Amino acid sequence: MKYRSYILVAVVSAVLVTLLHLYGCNPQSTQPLNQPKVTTNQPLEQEKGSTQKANATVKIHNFKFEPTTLKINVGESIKFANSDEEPHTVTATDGSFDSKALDTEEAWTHTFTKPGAFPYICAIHPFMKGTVTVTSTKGKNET
Amino acid sequence: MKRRNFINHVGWTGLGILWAVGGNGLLSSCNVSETTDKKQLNSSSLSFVQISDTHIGFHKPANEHVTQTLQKAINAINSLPTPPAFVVHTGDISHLSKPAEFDQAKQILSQLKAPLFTLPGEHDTIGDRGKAYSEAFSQKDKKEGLQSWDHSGVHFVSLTNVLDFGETGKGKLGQAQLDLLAKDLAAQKGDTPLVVFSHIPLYDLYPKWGWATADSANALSLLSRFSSVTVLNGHIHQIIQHSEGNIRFSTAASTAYPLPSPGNGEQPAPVKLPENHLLAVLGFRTVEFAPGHDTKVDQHSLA
Ligand SMILES: [Cu+2]
Repeated sequence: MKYRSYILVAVVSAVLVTLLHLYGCNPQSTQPLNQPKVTTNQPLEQEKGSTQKANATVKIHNFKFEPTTLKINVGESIKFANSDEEPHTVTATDGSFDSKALDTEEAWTHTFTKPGAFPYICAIHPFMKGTVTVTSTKGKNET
Repeated sequence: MKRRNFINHVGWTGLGILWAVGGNGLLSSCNVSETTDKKQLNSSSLSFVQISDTHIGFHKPANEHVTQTLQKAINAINSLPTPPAFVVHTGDISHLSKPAEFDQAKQILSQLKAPLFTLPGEHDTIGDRGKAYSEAFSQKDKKEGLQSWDHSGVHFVSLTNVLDFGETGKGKLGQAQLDLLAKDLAAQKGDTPLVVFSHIPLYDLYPKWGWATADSANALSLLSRFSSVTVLNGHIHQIIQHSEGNIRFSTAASTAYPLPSPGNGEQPAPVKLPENHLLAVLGFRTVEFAPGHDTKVDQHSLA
């Protein structure tokens, strides 16, 4: 009985590895190679479903926030766009912002009105971490 | 973490293996017929059911029919030969904490003949710290996320560890709940069998994926003086057994979809299986206490 269990686990694992591999090759889940590097000076083209203009985008992909760290100026906004099959959130560790659940292809835009470093996590997968650093407009020319 | 912790990983055969937990905390399988001597015991035995991770609102390919698989589980629970004293749902009732998901879950779960206890998973507390969840599933008997009750000489404690994640990325009980737990357990005798429920495991199962609770050591030290402790969790969507001293841990199968075994693959994303294989890894468990007898954990798959 015991060995049968291990064999089952092995089979399931093999299937899993295959599935994960195939999933990784799925065009839907692949990040476009021509994606421009996001900078604060280069507002992104608006994707459908978003109602607010954003100064930068954080992609949520493969259980990661990309880029993990991002610098913006006070008053600017960031769009967080989830392309994973799993839902994620963008939840500030200090409680100052929370996206609620972002399902597949859902995005959330947030305007940062205070300077400082804002670490955030996904409240569903709290091992997912990112930080937004907001600089005051005074220091704009320095960065 | 020690690698051998994973050796207790129990596969799922779909046959409803009976696992007996011996006095040494080791698990072994045995036949149902071996347990017939329980009739010789004088006081009544207790049987209860754990279900977990129903994820109502999930519609992805890993299981496009989560309400149907939950229904299947409920039908099976309702027709158990030994009716359970109660059913405990160890969290992730909903997928996205939406009121409509809780309504639907509540409707399906209300068909259970046995009383239902629930505790929240992180999917039940998204964005509102569990407000929508507690509107659907009353939390009036809980303080600081803790609820305890007694049945047939066994003491039960249900804990909440999905409201704060902080820097560690692990679940957290919090000092207020730990203080209450200390107070609750102080009133119990050391030979009283304990059963503890929480969503996220109360040991470092796989911290890289957040499958751990940051302050679980504080809880476990309170449990260490008891001779028989069973800790039952959800969150992992598969059965993984583990023991430390007198404390036996077991994560539960989901009724919705499986997750990869720890570290198998890049992320803990739902695993897609062919439908007949899917039902074999979904299910619920019954736990039976017969006084003077081993605790019996019986896994029931939906296949
Ligand atoms: Cu997430």
